[in-house]
Formats: sequence, structure tokens, C-alpha cells
Amino acid sequence: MKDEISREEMDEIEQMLKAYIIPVPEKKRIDMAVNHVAECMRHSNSYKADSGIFSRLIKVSAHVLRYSGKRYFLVCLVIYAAVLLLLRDNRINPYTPVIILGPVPFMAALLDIFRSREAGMAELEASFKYNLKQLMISKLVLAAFTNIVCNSVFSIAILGMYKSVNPAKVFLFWCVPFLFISTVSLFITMRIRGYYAPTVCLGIWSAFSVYITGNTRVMEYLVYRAEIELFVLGGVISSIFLIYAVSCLLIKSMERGDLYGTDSAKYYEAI
Amino acid sequence: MVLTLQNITKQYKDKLALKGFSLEMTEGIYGLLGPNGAGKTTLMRIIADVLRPTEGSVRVDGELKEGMNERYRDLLGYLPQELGIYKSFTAYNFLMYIASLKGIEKHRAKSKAEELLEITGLKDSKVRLCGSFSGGMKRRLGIAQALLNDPKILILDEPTSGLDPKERVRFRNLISGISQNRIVLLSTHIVSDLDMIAKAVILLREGQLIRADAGKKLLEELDGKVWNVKIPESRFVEYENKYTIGNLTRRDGLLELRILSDARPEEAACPDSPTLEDMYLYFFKEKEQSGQEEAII
Amino acid sequence: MLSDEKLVGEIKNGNEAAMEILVNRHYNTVFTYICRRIGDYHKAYDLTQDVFVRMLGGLGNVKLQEGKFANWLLKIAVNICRDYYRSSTFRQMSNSCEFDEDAGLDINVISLLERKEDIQSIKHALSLLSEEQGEAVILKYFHDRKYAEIAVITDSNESTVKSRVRQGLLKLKEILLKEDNDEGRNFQGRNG
Repeated sequence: MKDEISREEMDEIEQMLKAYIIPVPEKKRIDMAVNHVAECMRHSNSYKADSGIFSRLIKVSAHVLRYSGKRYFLVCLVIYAAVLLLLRDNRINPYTPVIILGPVPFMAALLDIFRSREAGMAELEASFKYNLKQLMISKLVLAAFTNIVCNSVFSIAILGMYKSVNPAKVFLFWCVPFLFISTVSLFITMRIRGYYAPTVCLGIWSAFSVYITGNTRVMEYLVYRAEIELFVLGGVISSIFLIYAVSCLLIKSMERGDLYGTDSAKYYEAI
Repeated sequence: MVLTLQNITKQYKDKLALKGFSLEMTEGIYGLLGPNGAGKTTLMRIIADVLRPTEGSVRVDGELKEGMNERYRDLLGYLPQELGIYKSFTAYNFLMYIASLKGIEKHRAKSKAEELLEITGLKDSKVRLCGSFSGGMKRRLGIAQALLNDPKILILDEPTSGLDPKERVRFRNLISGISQNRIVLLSTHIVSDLDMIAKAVILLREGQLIRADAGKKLLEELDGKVWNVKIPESRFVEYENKYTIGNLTRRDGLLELRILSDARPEEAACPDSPTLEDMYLYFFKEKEQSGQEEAII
Repeated sequence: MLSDEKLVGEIKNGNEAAMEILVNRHYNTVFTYICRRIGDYHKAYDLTQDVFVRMLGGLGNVKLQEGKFANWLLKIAVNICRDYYRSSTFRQMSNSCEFDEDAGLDINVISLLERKEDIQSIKHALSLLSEEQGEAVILKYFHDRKYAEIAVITDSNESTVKSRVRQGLLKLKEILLKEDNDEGRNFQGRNG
């Protein structure tokens, strides 16, 4: 057998191959395929770009609320109520608990949210209908919501109790720490695998916040002299980071990701 | 129901964990045997839809898994090798939690949880905290959660590892009891787990399917290759280098060896009928032996 | 006319009509590839449907270059065929080519028979190529893909593809031209 093939032979074969015509596929089979894919589209959301996120989030959130949401809410409410009672009895600077408690509900929730990684449940949960990451997101949203509600109610109560308090400052004093510290804790917890990451963050914040609120000079500056604009700026910057962090999570979360590595299936690889 | 695996391949950056694994499975217990690192867990994760294969298709009754979406997960029950359970849950609460994650509505979940706690012998521990459970109890709870949605495909990754022999037997009986009308894929590297219960044995080595057949058929391959022989201790080294040794006992100053050999090793050797342990040794020591032959040549 | 990329965007928003257009647009390409690759007309329908199902699954993750959608579909088709070939229940299909005689080919009976035999020979010859050779030859000669494109579709490199095409053609030469000589028929003459 010759190892070579001439131009003419190549052309000859090419001509021959042309005879291999495939009959046109039947329309009804094409329609069957279309219908089947349409069914798949209706039953799944994983192919979708952004829409469907909220409906899925709601479904998952309902589940989360039923199972761990109630206890979490209750605990937060109790803590804030206790602090409120304390305030009534003593002459503590009302701004102090506002600052200290600012990001606490959210950070405490991180302990639970990233729990499944640590407890070895991650792999099991990944095989369920409710995606692990969807759960995480929905818990985060719930935590943020709880944080905002608790702080808002708390702020309103304080405004009621202390007439001389500046409403804008009360609001900003919990809002900015919440946005900023929560974002930082979230980033840290996402990157560093370890049960202690959220606990450490909580500890650091507690120490820091107790220190600055204990320091009369700092408090004087914050309450009387710092301009509102500064806080607003801080708030805006923190919001941007928070949105960024959450969208990172969000984009990856709503698809079924590969839990154990980013090797993509060859059949999905882009061209 | 037919579960079809076609050309399942998983390539990591530095390792080819599975290579072109293809198999068709119907109802019954399939034992997946292989040494550590053979790719058993990788395969099970892919079937459990926790890991995506680099190449290959998983089909149920001909339909691609990708096209089935949630329906596929509804068919699955999975017990991973590492199962951590939230310590502060009670057994009952744990099952209810999992049931909601699987989308089972509360009413049905309650009765299912009760039923499964009964079947797995955990009824008395219903309100105990999981943190206080023994290893065997945790595994049984693990099986219970896998069965909550009455799966047609049950995947158990080394469910008996770390259990004592008594627990193992108990587990084997449990599995046997719940395996009707399901495709059960059970991985292990302890052969006795499969004794009497597996409809077929799948041998996986270095990511490749070596054999998949009824235990009996695989044992037929070893007919005439299992020998019992008595030798003095002085000859042990000679035997160790030449043959694969399955079992070793000392008796009356001599060594009784159970070995694998294509031909009768010596006059006094007695043939014996092959067991699953012999089969494991035969298929998974095979490579070592051929490596030695090459060295001699 | 909406581009493939636009349609994909629409599908991601849940637009079934867009999917219908896209599937109809590319069905033939995928179908003919699979049909030639596996040599089974009826099975090809099932596998073609699978390609589009897998396409849907991949839309969420894939980032396509402009104008490369058809190639991506072919890539999925290549992999689905590979899986089919490598499955444990795959049996060599007989060389019977099942045509629907009412497929709208307006030819007289003799030509039909002759054509059928030509096609039989080609089918047979193609089935004797290796998996990679078959893929490359079909993509080159029936889908007019460039070597670089085939390389991406089959997950290899350009020089490997070139060599596979060459090897494939050599084999085809041996089988087809030899048959041709044996039977003393002149292909070129008939098609004239």
C-alpha cells in the first residue's frame, strides 16, 4: 500500500463522498426535539441568565425560614430587647450599643451559613434538589434582612427613649459598620476555610467596637464633630463592596456548580 | 429502570481519575470493588450529580441526565463516604431537615422519617442528639436519609468503612432488605460486604473498568488457580516472590499458604474453590506481579 | 435574521420560540453529522435530540465566540457520538441503510438503486476508519470545516487533525478505489 495520496486521488474520493447524501430529517422528529427541549426549559432554571433567580430565592428562603429562620430571629430579638432594657436603667451612651450591635446579627449568621462546609454535610447537601449555594445565598439575605430590621427597630426605640439623639447619626452608626464589617467578614469567611473564621471576625469586631465606644475622645468626635458626609461616604463605599461580594457569590451560585473543582466538562467547553 | 453510563471520564489537572467507564445497570445490588484511589468515589459523585464528568453521558431509560433536571435528583439517594451530621440535631429532626431539602412535603416526611428510623433500628434513638451517636448509628442514619425520597437509584460510598464486623453484618442485612426494586451501587474495598447480596460485581482499577459480571462468573475465571500448600518457613521467601499469597497460617511448625497460581505450584499442593477474596487478590495484585516479571526479563 | 448569539440570549430569558428557531436552523447540520458518524438513521434522531438537550444545559456556562455556535453544537455532537460508541451496549450496526423511499428524492428507480449501492460502499468504508479519522474526515468533507476548527471541535490540535484526515483518506482510497477497480465500475462516469 502506498503511503501517499495524490491530488487526483483526493479529489476523486471527495467526489465519491458527495454521493453520500442523507435524507432530509422528518419535520415531525424536529418538532419532537423542539418540544422536548421546551419541556426542559420549563422545568429547569439552570440555563437561564439572571431571571428566575428571585423565584428560586423565594422558594429556598421559605425553606430556610421554616427550619432555622425562626430561632435565629428570636435570638436576635431577645438580644436587642435585652440591650434596650439595659439602656432604660443606666445612663449609657445610646450610640454605644448601636455601634457595637451594628453588624452582629449578620456576622453571627455566618457561623451557621458556612457550617455545612465544616460539618461535612456539604457533599451530601450538594446532591439535593435545593442547591447548597442557593441555600447559602438565601441565608445571607435572611441574615442581612434580620440585621437591618433589628437595627432599625432598635434605632427607632432609642429615638423614642432619648430625645437629644441625632437620628441621622443613629442610623449611620449601625449602617456603616454593618455594610463594611459584614462585607469584610463575608470575604474572609469565603476565602478562609475554617470554622473559626467567622468567630474570629466576630471577636475582633467585639474587641474593636467595645474599645472605640469606651474611648471618650473617639466617641466625642464621632457624636459631636464628625460630619455626616463622612459617614455617608463610608456607607456608599461599603455598599459597593458588599454588592460586589454578593454578586460574585450570586453569579456562581444559581447554577449547579462543580463542587470539587473547576474542571469544566469538555462537552460544555467554549469554542 | 436502566441506568446507563457511557464513557464516563474524569480528568483532573494532574490525574485521570476515571477513564471511559461504561456500564448498564438495572434493579439489584452492584458491588463496586477496587483499592483506594481506583476512582470509586469519583464515579459515585458523578452519578450522584455532585461532580461533572469531563466526558461521557449518564442516562436513565435512555434519557440524558442533563435533560431530566430535578427529576434526576428525585430518583437519587446518596450516602457519601464522609458524612458529618450536625451534632445538635436529633435523629428525627435531622431526617426532617433532609426531607425538606429533598423537597418532600412535611406530611409525608413525618411518616417516612418514622418508618425509616424503625427500619434502621434507630427508633429508640429518635430524640437523641446525633453528636452522641456511634459510628454505626451515624451510618444507619445516613442510609435513612438516603431513603427518604424512596430513590430508584441508591448510591452508597464505602458505607461500612470504620465499622466493626458485627456492624458490618448488620449493615449488609439492612442493605439487602431495602434493595428491592432499586438500583443499588455499593462501593467497598472489603469483599465480604458483598457476600451473598450482590447481583454483580464491578472491578475498578486505576479509573478503568476491569470486569463487571455476576460474582459466580468472575469466580469461574479463577477455577484451578487457587491452591493450598504447606511449606517450611525457610521456603517462604521463595513463595513470596513467586506467587500472590492470599492467606497464611502457622501450624505444626509449617506454613499453610493459600496462593494464586496458574499452574500447580508443586506436587503436594491442593486445589481449592475460589472465593471473593481470592478474586480481589487476583485482579488487584495482578499488576504487581507482572511488574516483577518484567524486571526479571 | 437574528444571529445565533441573539437567539441564545433570548433562550436564556426563557424564550421558547427563539429555541425553536435555533433548533430548526441547526438541526440538519447536527443530524447529518451524527447520521454519517454512526451510520444509523433512526438512532441519529435520538442522539440529535440529546445534543440539543445538552446544548440547553451548557448555555448557562458557555461563553461563545461570535459565529461559532454551529461549531459548538458539532462539538457536543462529536462527544455524544463518542459516548455512544464507547458504551458497553454498542453493537456494530449492520450496514443496512434505511431510507425512506418517499424522502422526496425525485429520481428514477435504477439511479436510486445505484446510488444506494454507492452509499453502502461509502458507509462501509467510513465505518472502517478509526474514531478520530472518521470524525475528522466527516467534518472536513461533509461540513467544510477548516483544520483549525476541526481541532477545536474534536479537542485536539491542527497537525493531528491534518494527519488524521490524511490517514483517513489513505484508508478510504484503499477501500473505495480498490472496490471500484474490482467491480470495474466507474464512479465518475455515472454522476456525469
